Amino acid sequence: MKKILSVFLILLFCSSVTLFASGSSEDENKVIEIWTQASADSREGQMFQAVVDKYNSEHPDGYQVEIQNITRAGAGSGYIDKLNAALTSNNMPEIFTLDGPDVASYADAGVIQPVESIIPQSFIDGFTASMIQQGTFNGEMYALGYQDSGVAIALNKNIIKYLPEDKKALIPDTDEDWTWDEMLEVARAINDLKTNPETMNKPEIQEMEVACDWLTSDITKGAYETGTYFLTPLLWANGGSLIGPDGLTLDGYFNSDENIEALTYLGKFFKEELVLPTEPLKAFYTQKAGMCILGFWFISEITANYPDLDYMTVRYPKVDESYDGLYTPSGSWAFVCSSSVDLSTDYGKAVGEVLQELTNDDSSRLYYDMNGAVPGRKNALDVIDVNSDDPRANEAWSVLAYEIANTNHARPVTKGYPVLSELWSKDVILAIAQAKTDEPEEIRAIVNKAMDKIQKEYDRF
Amino acid sequence: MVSKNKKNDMIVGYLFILPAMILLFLFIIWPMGSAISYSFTDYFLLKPGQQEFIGLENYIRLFKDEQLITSFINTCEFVIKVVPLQLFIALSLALIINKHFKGNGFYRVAYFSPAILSLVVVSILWSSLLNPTSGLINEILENFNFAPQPFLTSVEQAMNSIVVISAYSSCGYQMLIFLAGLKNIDQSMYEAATIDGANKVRQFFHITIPGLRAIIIYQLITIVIQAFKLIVQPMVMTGGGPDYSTITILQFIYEEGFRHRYIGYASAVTIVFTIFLIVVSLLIKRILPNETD
Repeated sequence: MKKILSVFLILLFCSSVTLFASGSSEDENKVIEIWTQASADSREGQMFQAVVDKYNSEHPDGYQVEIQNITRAGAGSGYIDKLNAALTSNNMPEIFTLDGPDVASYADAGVIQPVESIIPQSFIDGFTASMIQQGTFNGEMYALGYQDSGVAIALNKNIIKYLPEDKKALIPDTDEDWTWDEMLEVARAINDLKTNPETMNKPEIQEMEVACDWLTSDITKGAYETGTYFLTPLLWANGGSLIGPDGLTLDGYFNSDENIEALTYLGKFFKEELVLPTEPLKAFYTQKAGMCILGFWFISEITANYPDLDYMTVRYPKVDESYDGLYTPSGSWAFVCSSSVDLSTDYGKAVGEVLQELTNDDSSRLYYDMNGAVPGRKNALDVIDVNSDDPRANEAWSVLAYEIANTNHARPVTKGYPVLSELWSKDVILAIAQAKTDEPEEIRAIVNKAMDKIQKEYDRF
Repeated sequence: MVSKNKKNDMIVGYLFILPAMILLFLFIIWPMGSAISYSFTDYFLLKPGQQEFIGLENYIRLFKDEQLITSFINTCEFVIKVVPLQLFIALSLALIINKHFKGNGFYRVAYFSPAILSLVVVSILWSSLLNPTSGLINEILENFNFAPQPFLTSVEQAMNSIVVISAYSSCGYQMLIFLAGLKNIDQSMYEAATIDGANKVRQFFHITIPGLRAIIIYQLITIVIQAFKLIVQPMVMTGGGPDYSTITILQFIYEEGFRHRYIGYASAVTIVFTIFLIVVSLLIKRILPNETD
């Protein structure tokens, strides 16, 4: 009896193993599977579904495409956890999305493969420079971005109308550059409105809780990329960088004098409590902050949900106005191809066609129309509408269009990016926020301590 | 020789436990075995199947890892603070609602309700309440002319805030168990003590506490183990900060394994932590008197 039971248990175990470990069969390969980080009912999820539906209807006899939009948590973890699980069970989809800076680590590990053999060079050349930079690792193209991105500074007009004229004059027009010194002065002036007897009782000022909203609360909640995306440009705008061009060297870059000087601005904002480590939720949208660093998605968000918010948009500041390098943040999620796909087959070629369908000029336009996504294709940039019925949105889009065309800078391409991004946000930005210091030597100590930790992680590669 | 009936009984018995055994094997024994084997390798999440045996390297590394040591100290601090607080609150609430008064049922549900809420929901709610600028708690403090407090953003206060919130959100369950224990204490003992002139305090220490001894030991072990497994509250409310002052062992394991993708190292920490928890449980059982004594 024991033997029978043992055999039964072993059989059950084996069948479970087979069930869990089985890869895709030949028949399943008739379908091209796509996973994205968008939730199915979001505008982003709907726009991907629209492109897939169009492809399937145009190729009724070819390989059919199935898409799974997997909602990500705040820091993208839900979707990434699903990818990790698929990776360990050898069950990866043929096409999936990755955030631009993560491409290098997946490429280095061999999880994704270069796509030049299935994507014509002329198609790749159609991407904006920052999209190509983001998708390239070791000289090969791995990721096709479906949208670019941009960041600008937004100011609440209902609050800044109370500023003294000399402070108002520091705020540039939409087609002008400005500096961190000028932004600091404006932030101080906004903060002073709370204690100025002439303005402190105005309803807009009483509602205001903080001068600037930098989304630092998101860093505290684990969305470390928020800090890297929004605040690394401060370093770039001063000629600094997080890591050397080889993607591995930290010393001399991460702790450079340019970085330390730039970070003193960060320290000033925190020291004077013009920015708080924990901000009220959606502080700028709800008019609890006078000024904000915002990603491009704020335009459609405000248009759709905050019609009463009267705001103006200006460029991301430089440290020195004469600086003419690239410095504004860019990049976004991109489509990549799993290494499991044999690109030399018809199936592989079909995967290439689907990748092009997802990222071509027409789709870029569609994504802009449906979701306000910044096009990552040069030919689609003309879709950006700066003559709509909403003057606030027109102004914001004109600023972003300028940055995309002229100043956008790709985030570092390094296989250790997750560690770099996390510790830069947590151990530098948040540490300065906690220390509330603008002393260069204290900041240098914070930076060096963080660099040592990152170096230890990089030594593991 | 085993009779046919006894054999049939054995088969039925095995069949009854089979589903549980399968689940136990799939979700406890197999993952634990995998974790043990991974802990001796350099398993990197993005390179499954390419791991190499590295002996005790992960185990040596973990004893030198400053962040892990910080996580361990934080976790111990949390346990030391939350266990007595949670036991005290749970027992106090149980004693209150054990009395017969109007609205007793309402209070029983009200005190228990946080225990059935998701910890994520509770944590988000408290993050909002404790927000330094717009939180309700600070608004109340300001109305009484107290300075707003950086409950979740200062190194000194963040862990204490998490301790209080954790005790509040979990004590309802322990309260119900204490309540059941209180109902089982023979009321005639209190009557006899009253006749003998014992006041309420003496009755509490000489009747109630001895009557609840077995339950207190059970509660102590479960709260200690539960407290060592803290992860949700700091993850949602502070992200482990400020300055790593609230990062816990489980959060460290999650971040090493899934954010930094070092599955081998995370597995080694998991194994050592599991052994530590087993030792702690055995120590508690050994130190505390047996309920049958």
